[in-house]
Amino acid sequence: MAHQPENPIEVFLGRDAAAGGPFAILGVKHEPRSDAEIRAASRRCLEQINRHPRSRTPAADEARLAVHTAATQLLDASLRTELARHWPEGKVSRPVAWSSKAANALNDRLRVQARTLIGASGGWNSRARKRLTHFARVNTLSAYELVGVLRDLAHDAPQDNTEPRPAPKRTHSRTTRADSTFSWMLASYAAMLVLLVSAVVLRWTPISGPDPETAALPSEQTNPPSAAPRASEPAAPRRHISALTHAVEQLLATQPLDRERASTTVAELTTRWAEYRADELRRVTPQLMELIARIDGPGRDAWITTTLTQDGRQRSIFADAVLQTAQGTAGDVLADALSQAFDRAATTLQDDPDRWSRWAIQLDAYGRIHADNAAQARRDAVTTRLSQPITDRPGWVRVAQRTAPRMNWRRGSPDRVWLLGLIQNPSIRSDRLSTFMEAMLTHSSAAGLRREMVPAPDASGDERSRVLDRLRSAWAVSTDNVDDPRVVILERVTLFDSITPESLDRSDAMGRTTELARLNAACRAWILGDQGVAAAALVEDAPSNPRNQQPARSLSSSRSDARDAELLRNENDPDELVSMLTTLRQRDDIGPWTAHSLVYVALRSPSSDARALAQAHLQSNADLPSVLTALDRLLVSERPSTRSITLVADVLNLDDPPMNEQGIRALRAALLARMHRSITQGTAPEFQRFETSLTQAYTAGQQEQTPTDAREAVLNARLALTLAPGADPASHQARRISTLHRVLSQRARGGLQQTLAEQITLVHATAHTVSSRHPTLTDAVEQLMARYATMLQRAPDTVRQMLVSELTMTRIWKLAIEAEMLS
Amino acid sequence: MTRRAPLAIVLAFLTMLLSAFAVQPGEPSPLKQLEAGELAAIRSQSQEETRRAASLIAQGARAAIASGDDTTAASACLALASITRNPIVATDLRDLAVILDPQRTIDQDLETTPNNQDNTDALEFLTEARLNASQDAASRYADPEIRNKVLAATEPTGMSERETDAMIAAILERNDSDRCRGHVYVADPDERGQRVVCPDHLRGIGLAANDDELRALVTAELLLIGTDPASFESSAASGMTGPIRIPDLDAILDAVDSP
Repeated sequence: MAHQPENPIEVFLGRDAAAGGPFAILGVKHEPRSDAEIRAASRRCLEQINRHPRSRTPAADEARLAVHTAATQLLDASLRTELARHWPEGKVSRPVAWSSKAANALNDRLRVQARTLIGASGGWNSRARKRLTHFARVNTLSAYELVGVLRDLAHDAPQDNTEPRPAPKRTHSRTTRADSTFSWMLASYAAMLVLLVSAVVLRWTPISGPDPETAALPSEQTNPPSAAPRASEPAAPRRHISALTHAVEQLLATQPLDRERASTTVAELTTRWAEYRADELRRVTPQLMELIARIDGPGRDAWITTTLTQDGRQRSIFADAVLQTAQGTAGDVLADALSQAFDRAATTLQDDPDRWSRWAIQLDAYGRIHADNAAQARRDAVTTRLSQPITDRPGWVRVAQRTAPRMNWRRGSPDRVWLLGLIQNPSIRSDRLSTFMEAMLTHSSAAGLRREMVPAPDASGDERSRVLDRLRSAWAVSTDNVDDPRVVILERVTLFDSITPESLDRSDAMGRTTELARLNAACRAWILGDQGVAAAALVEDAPSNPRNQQPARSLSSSRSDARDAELLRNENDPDELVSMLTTLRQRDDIGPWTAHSLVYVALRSPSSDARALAQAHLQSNADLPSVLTALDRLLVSERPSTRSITLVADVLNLDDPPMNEQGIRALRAALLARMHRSITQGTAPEFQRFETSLTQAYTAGQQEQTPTDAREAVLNARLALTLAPGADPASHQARRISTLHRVLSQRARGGLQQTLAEQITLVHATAHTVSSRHPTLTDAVEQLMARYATMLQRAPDTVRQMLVSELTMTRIWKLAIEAEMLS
Repeated sequence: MTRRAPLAIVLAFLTMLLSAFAVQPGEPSPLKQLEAGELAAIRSQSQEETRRAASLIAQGARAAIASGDDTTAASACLALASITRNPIVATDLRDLAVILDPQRTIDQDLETTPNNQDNTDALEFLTEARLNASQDAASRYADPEIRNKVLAATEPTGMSERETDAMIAAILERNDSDRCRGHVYVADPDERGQRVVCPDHLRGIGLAANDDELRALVTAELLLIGTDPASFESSAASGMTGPIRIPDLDAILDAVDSP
């Protein structure tokens, strides 16, 4: 079929306008009288385009663009002079690439390559046009002829039967050309060439041969650096697929592999893939992949990367083949290359949802082979985006909505831990994080996530800490069945590892301390080989009711109290006294004055019944401060007699103490302790709940007798470690820990600090145990202990010191469990 | 010139030989540093000389810890404890010494901690003050030993010296104006032989003026008798929520080194 080259300039402005250069486009002389003349010419051209029947086509737009560009160039006097030198007046000249006279013969090989190029560019688009320009230039072809040939090929296609339409004549006797269905291609091509050539002419050099930098086809992006053949090399005729398959098989059978030939063969197929049918490609790809797997090195890896991110047919065939190969014998070889390929490809994704989708589809396929690697690649890619400023918000929203559901938000998943880490990572942008977590909320099945856990786009560090805390609690206190304690332990350890003690108030610190203590109890049980206890410890107990929680008592005296006390004190009739005492016993309270009278009666009344009744009444109210104070006064203010001491011991339900100074002192110590407990009861209920929870946490999962208080529970935990198989209580370090315990216990004041002293000792014992079991961890453990010492010094109160103690134990256990899982 | 050349060569050789065998000045061992510091401390005549001696010992302690010589480090801690005038730092140093070297027998040093002291006199004072059972309470509190023990017992509850002194002063003043002098009953002026509750008290004898004061007094008495509040709640209610002070050798040595 005869070819009539055309371009948008010719179509809309006539052949003379397309003769070359901006002067021809506008139809002005090389020395215009004024800028107004250029502007007028520009207007004329635009009007002519507007009158054209195809004035609303993309081709017309490209012609307009060429007019605007030409006008802009000529309005610049210096550029106009420069352009005039290259486009002499009266001489029609075209760039070599445009000129049919300068063109080589367009043989079959070049035609096939051009077609391949379009295919490799994903069809006829700006990328293909740009590549064709280079292609024409380096092969000294006529671009018109080339495009015309391609148009003819396209016309051969059955779907394209559009007839060309004549263009109207131009005022300046310029000839019109017939329309064609490919005119938009040519228009694009020509407009681009106008711009390109205008820029290039300034540094124009005669073409003496192909440009090595631009000769690689389709482009360096689609070819492995080491395997891509140069277009300038004489291309061998296309081999039949059977011959190619045979060549590949021969290479595979050769030991050692002829790398050079292998690279050439791979390049032959991967650069000329478009010349083969899909079924042919599929036939050869298994052998091809095996060959690629054997070609080690950066070229292979680069090829994989680009293949995975290719659009169109090449991607679907080769990428699938790559992934299939990874499952086969060459899978191990390709595993690292694939992993790196996904990482490299991820760096080009930006906020383009379509790119993400393509990448994600391949990643899903890869995930079926190497789930962990694929999940990690996805996390890394999202992390990268989360740290970049948002430039395309709708794009990012769609990316987040497509990515969040693909991640694994079930318990035990590293994705959960990763997200928690992100929330507290200051390099992660709140606006991106907000969008991503919103997508999690609306598009994923992440359990436990609620609206209030999504940070605001402008959330501060503190706000994100609060979000983190809520999310951590929501994900950490699940009461699901524990299938594999190691997984859950590691998950929770990692969750809590990121706690920042200084950001928590005292109440939160108590809660975290208890949770960590439970986790540490599970870790201890796991390391000590009691997996049942470890699993049981991970299941949250129902919150227990604090024992004997009573409001603080009032110690003020009432009028009736004084009256009762006086009646008791002054009553001499035994029967009346017994009657009064019987009445008093029906009350559940004893006033401060009445208590003194009861003590008096119990000790001094001549009636044994009255004494017994008074003592019984005191005994049944032995925890009242009034009663204890009255008894204390008996011990202190009077010379203690055997009778009075016995009374005190009986009321307190203690064995009779020896009648010496030490015995009396011990009795008084017990009395003061009970009085202290009595007068402080109900004044700090959160601490009572804390102690109960901590005791439960330390004994979680255990069936043995429950310790009476938290201090004893921590002590038992330390003893369990000390008595573990392999532990040497006589070692220098064990003795040092024991001494530390003695020193700390002497410094501790009160049950809270005494429990802390036990915890600190337990931290050291834990560090010692882990270092002994895993000597390779010694340095890491020592680093944690050094950090622990600093945190202890900085903690503002006992509760925060308890928190950092449990946190340090958690971190040490994490090291140990990871090491044991690896071994 | 040519006649002097062999002489120059011989001299150069001798110089090299001498320098090779010369005693190289080096860092003294931790033990040497410790001994030098102790000697300097014994000979010190002024505060500045004592400070320099302490600095020498501190250097020895650092070197000993760096070289893993815990025994020498423990000795240095004890040496510093004997020099320092700060009783808290001295306690820290003694504690550090036994932690560094558990073999060391310094039980007599550890006995200086409050738990092991005889606090009977201070305990009696506080109890009798609370119950108004003493006739000479004011003069007993004037005894520095008793006062210091009382202050040491109220310090863990978060009370400052001034607050403790003010509380004791108020108790003693109330006791002086109490007509029953700590007795629960007084004789009824209207009826012969009858006893009535002393009308001066709004709360019972021994229950202090208010709940806070009662908690402070009972807590201090409890500590003086050698028993701590056992539960978290009773500890917290007594103000015992402050951090445990962990002895920090680096901080102590830095303090010793700073002029």
